[in-house]
Order: sequence, then structure tokens, then C-alpha cells
Amino acid sequence: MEIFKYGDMANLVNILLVEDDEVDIMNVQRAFKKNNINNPLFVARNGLEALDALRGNNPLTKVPSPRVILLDINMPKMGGTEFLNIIRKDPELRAISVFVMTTSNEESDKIAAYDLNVAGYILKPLSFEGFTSAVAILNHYWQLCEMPQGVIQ
Amino acid sequence: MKSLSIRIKIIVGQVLLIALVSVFIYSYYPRQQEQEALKAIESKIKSISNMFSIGVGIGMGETDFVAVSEALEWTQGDKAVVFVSVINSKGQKIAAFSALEKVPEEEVSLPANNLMVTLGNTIYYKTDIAYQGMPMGSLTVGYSLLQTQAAINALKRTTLYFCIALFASGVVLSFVISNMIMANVRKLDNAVKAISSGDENVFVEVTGNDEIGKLAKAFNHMLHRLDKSRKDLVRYSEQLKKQNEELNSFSYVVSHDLKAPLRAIFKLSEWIEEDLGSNIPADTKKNMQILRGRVFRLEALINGLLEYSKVGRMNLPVEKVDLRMMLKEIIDLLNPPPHIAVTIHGKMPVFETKKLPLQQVFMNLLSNAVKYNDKSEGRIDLSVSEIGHYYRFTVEDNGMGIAPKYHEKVFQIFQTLQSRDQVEGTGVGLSIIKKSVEDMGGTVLLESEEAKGAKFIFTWPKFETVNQH
Repeated sequence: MEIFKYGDMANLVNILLVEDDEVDIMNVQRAFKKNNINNPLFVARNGLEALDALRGNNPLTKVPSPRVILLDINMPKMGGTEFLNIIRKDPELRAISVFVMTTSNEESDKIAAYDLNVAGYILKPLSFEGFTSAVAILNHYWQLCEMPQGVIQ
Repeated sequence: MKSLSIRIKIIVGQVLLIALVSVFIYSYYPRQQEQEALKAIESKIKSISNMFSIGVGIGMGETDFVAVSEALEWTQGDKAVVFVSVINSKGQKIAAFSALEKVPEEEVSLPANNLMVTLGNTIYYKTDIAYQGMPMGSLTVGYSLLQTQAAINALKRTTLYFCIALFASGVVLSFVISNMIMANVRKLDNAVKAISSGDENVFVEVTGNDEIGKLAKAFNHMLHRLDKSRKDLVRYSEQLKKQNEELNSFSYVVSHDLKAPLRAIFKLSEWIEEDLGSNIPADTKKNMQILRGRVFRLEALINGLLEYSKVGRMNLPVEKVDLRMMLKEIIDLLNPPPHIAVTIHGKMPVFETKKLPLQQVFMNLLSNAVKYNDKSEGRIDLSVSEIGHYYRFTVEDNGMGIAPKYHEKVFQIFQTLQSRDQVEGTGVGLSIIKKSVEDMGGTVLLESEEAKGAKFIFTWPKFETVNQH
């Protein structure tokens, strides 16, 4: 479990990146930096770690509300679809906006994701430039959206 | 007649046959017996007459009338002799006997020619009497047929009863036999009906070892084999389904796991370049670009491989396709350069088929035709004709063409005729066309010579067959 914080502003949405590929993590970090996105970025390497981080099983790695999840589909131990299934049944976690960010162009993955109420399904572009602009759009979107500030009970 | 059941045919046939036999027996047997009886009577009359004429002749010759009356009495030993008359040569009746109420008048005029004459119920026989070569007169004997006729009538009645009994038992028997035959036929019929209505594990209970019994056994054998092959089929299709699923997950794994490192390589090269900033040597910058080009190419190859593996495995919906509209959309999407004219000839069909593979086939053919057109005035012509249950589509261009020796090779996966550095292409397009077309039951054909354009012809079924996945 690693925590990367680029800002500590209480009113900014906390972002949890659930991703197993190190280059892809670097990719997101780099894109954040390039777009001057200061939201706190938390990283979990698979679904299980992400659940720990959301539920605060380890107080040190707890992701505070409000929060948005960037989720990869193919991961070891617990994949993205299984993770989604679990948080959608959890009354404390089910309201979280989840953006799927994956290389999987499979129709079945997209259907499964939208069935579980994802906010978006984004295919990772091959080039960094494409990814950077995608992240910029996402950032605009987060800034546009009003999020509930309190912890959901 | 044709619509009658076998049972009715058998019964009618048998009844007709028995009726014919009965009528034949009834009309032939008593008559034959009557004729036999008459013959016997005739010879009896002759022998009586002969004996009597000899006795009377002696009596007349010796003028011994006692002998004549004794002979007369002798004839009455046979009750059937109802009339005897002896006339001498002078025409005088010298002895007579009659049990008849009425003596026929014709008696006198009977010809003495040893012929039998039947008058009423009596046969008369007139014969000459001679003694020691001297004609002595004539003798007439009347023989009653009443007894014989009574016997014949009795025989006729008996025969009639016999024939009626024969007919009746024949009818009953024919019903019994036809039922025996039809019982098995009906079982067979029921089994066939049960099978055709979709029942499984139906067998015919066979009795007997006649032709129908054997047929039923053969039928059971066939059913058994049918059942076995059906089970085999189910097993194979399950195996196939499992393998398909494995292949699906395999291609999924390939697509994700092969691409992930590629993307990493691509990004890392970008970052290296970016981090070096303006310090990067021109050579390194070019190599980085080539590196990313190869990554692109490898990704395209992986995508092509995935696409190829998906052909025919997808459960695609059957949709109504307006082909002219679809072709226009494809041409719009390809956006061919202005010097290439794409023309749709004739009336393109509107029909129901799997839209996606057909779209892909046209897409690949048209993009090839655009990509490999080297003429200043490019021309691509699309046309259609009908062959039986198939449409026959033709995509013809005036591009660089393909030498005949490569006609087979170009349809194989990853085969390109030009180096990928010259024309970026994966060599998957034509292999996907071939696989898609053949999966639908069609064929694809190439007519081309180098530098003389290419003509791709493929057939596509007009109707979606039920059994295709």
C-alpha cells in the first residue's frame, strides 16, 4: 500500500487508483502532474487492498471522503468487476463514483461495469498524450460535480 | 383406392378372393356331380335295357311269356325303373309296366336309335330286341330322375352351406390376419409419430419374426443408433462449447496480458524522450519513434489476431440490412481520396442476415481497394447478382492487383505482399474476409493480375439458416 499525496486540500476529492501495473500507476501520476491536478491520490494494487483502504482497516492508509475511484479491471487476487460487486453491496461504499480505466475492450467487461453503475468506462489510450488529455477531462468533470462532503453512515 | 389403409386393402382383397372361391365351388361342384350322376344313370339304363332285352328276346323268341313277365319283374327290382314297355315287331304292346301317373304320349314316337331322351323327370331309352339275329320288336325303359335330382339338390344345398361357412370364416380369418399384421405396423407407426414429435428413447415392441417384425427390429436398431449419435452430438457440442469458452478466455488473456507490457514500453519511451527534453540526440529521437512504430504494429497484429479468432465464434444477431445504405456508410467512413471513384452498380438487396460480419467483409475489401490503388484515376466498382440461395457480390478495382501465384497466399493470416514498412498492414483483413464468408457457407474468389486491378467475388446466403450459431 502506497500513498501519494499531491495536495492536502480538504475540499478536494480524494482519488483512489486501483491498479496493479507499475507503469500504469506512473502514467496516472505523471498525467496528474502534467495537468496540475492536486487531488490526493491513493493507490491500491488490487481489489482487496482497495477494500482495506476504503474501510479503513489500517487507519494509516484510510482514504477519507469525499472520494472517487479509478479502477482497472484485470488485477491479481481481486479484479475490478469483483471489487465493484462488493462495494455496490456495501451500504457505506456503494455511493462512490467509480471510473473504470482499463485496456480491456471486451463487450462483456463494459456491460458488467455499467451493470454495477460505473460513472464511466475509459479505454487507456496507447499514447501518453492521449491519456493526459483524458485525465484532464476527468479532472474538469470532478471539479464540475458536487460531492457529499460527510462520511456516509 | 390409394388413400385406403393397408388393413382395409388386405381385408377387401381377402374377402373378394374368398367370395370368388365360394362362388366357384358353389357353381362348379354340384353341376359336376350332377353330370357324373347322369352318366352313371345312363350306363345303368343301358345295362338294364340290355339285360332286359336279352331276357325278353329269349322269351319272345321262344314265345315264353312267363319269361317275359319274369324279366319285367326283375326290372322292378330297381325302384327307379318307372316305365317299361315291350312292343313286338307288329307294333303290338306285349308287356308294359308303369309307375307313372301319366305315360307320355311321345313314348311311341321315341326314336330307336339308342339315344337317351329326357321327358319330365324321366329318362327314356328305346332299344331294339333281337333273338338269334331276328328283330323281335322294341323295348322302352323309363328311368326316374327324381331320386337323383333330390340327391343333387341336397348336394347343392350342402355346398351352399359349405360355401357360406367358408366365406364367413374367410372374412373372420382375414380380419384376424390383417389385425395381426397391422398390430406391428401400428406400433411402428406410433413409434415414428412419437419420434417425429420429438420424443426420445422411443422403441417398438416387436412381436413375430415376419417382414414387419424384421422391419421393426431394423427400426429399433436404427433408433438405437440415432440415440447414440444424438448423445454423441450433445457430447461433442458440449466439448465444443467448452473449448470455445477456453478459446474466448485465451483470447481475452492474450489481448490484455500481451498488450500491457507493450503499453508500458510505449509510455516509457515517451517519458524518456520527454525527460531528456532538448538534450536528446536526433538519432535517439528517431529510434524512439521507430520503437513506438513497432509497438503500434505489434498492437495492431494482436488486435488482428483477436479479431480473426473471434470470427464465427460470436453469437451475432440477425438484422435487417439495407446493403446500399450500409455500403454508403462504409464509404463515408473510409473517406477515399477524391481521385478514387467508388460506384455501386445495380440494385443492392435489403435482407436479413448477420450484419456485423457482412459489414466487416465489405469494410476490409473496400479499404484494401482504396489502400492499394496506385492509379491517378482510381476506380472501385461494387455489383451484385443472385445465384440460387446466395447473393454474389463483386468488388472490382483498377489498383495494383495481385499476381496469380499469390492468390492463395493473400488469404492466409499475417500474409502481406509488401513490407510493412512500405504499406502499414497487418495481413489480417483478407483472412478475416475468407473466414467470415466461409463461416456463413459462402465462398470467396479472387481474379487479378499484377498491375491490372483486382476483382474479389464472394457469395453470401440470402437466408439465415437455423442451425448456424
